[in-house]
Amino acid sequence: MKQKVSVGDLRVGMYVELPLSWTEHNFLRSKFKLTSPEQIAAVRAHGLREVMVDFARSDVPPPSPPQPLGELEYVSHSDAIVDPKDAPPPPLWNPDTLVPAELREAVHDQRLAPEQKAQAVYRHSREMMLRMLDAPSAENIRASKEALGSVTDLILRDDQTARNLLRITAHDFYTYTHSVNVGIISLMLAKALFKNSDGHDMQELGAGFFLHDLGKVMVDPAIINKPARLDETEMRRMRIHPYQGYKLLRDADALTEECRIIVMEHHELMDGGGYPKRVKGDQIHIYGRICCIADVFDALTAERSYKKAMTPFDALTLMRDKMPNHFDRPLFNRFVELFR
Amino acid sequence: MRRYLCDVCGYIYDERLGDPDEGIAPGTRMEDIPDNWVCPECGATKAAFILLTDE
Repeated sequence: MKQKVSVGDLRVGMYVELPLSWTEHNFLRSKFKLTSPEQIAAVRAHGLREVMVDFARSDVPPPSPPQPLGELEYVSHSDAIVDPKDAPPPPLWNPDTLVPAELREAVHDQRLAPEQKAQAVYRHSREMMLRMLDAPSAENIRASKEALGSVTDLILRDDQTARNLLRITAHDFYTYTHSVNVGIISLMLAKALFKNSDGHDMQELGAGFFLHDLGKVMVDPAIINKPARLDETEMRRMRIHPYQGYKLLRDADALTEECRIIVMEHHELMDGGGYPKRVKGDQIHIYGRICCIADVFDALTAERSYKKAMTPFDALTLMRDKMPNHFDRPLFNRFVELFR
Repeated sequence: MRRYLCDVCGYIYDERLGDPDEGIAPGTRMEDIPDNWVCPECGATKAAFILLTDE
């Protein structure tokens, strides 16, 4: 018994059949049983609205059709009869539901060992980022930014948990994982550089690092999720994401100078070969240079369908040898020390 | 009539529409726009505009 199910209604235990050829998705097979929430998120990340579910091969029953109204309920107490189809769809997430309670708990729990704390903070930060990128409204952007401020605080004051966070970063290809990874990695470098200085607003800096790729929500998901290298036309469309991120933050009234610099400059390279403004050298703010290094490092160590994940060592070697003019050299040397 | 993408911000200059707010009449070709014209969305210069050929 097969039935189309909206991606929002997918549950663990459902046997899905993706309407994509094997080369278009990143799963081992096109038909399989969902075994984790991460897999559901992965299906959603392909930008599909609904997928076919074979309930004969699933562990869960099909979602029940809307119950017909009982006779009493036909007697309306109001003159205005609203067809449910005409009502606006409920928002996916709002500031009350966006931030997982477990994230706040993990950040403030004094009893958790650093390793467990890092695991919980990492998992729930990604969950929040996934929700926010799914529903990037002004109020959701502000709510996530506030929560990211508390994660930033944790990384700054708890060295052990911070080291563990750096160690456990996952290497899939989702924007939400990448966002959290780059947030953690950039912040570790900023912490090493600025620990004896009070001239930096570390909270804003941290939030900016986590939100550096926000503008990707304005790029066609087919380009974001393309399981192959982008061609020139697709790259052009991708290159608008720094400015779009700046615009989203500005319009959400969540833009500070730190965030503006990071979001706009994280793809600018020291030799002027980056984008969007093609500025170079000292024209790129140190915050932008930090995020650029972390961004490339995480992209190299992430797995893609068209390339294997590199080890941190190999990624650092490649960045040093094959991209000598992309990064701020002294900054890069400090970055390497983070992994010693 | 052609369309150009600002690769800084994604704004599209459509020659059919021009940019009347900045005195660029509808139908003005990209090459006829003065060099001091900037992207109305983000302020990038003309050099940031790329012909859209994929439509």
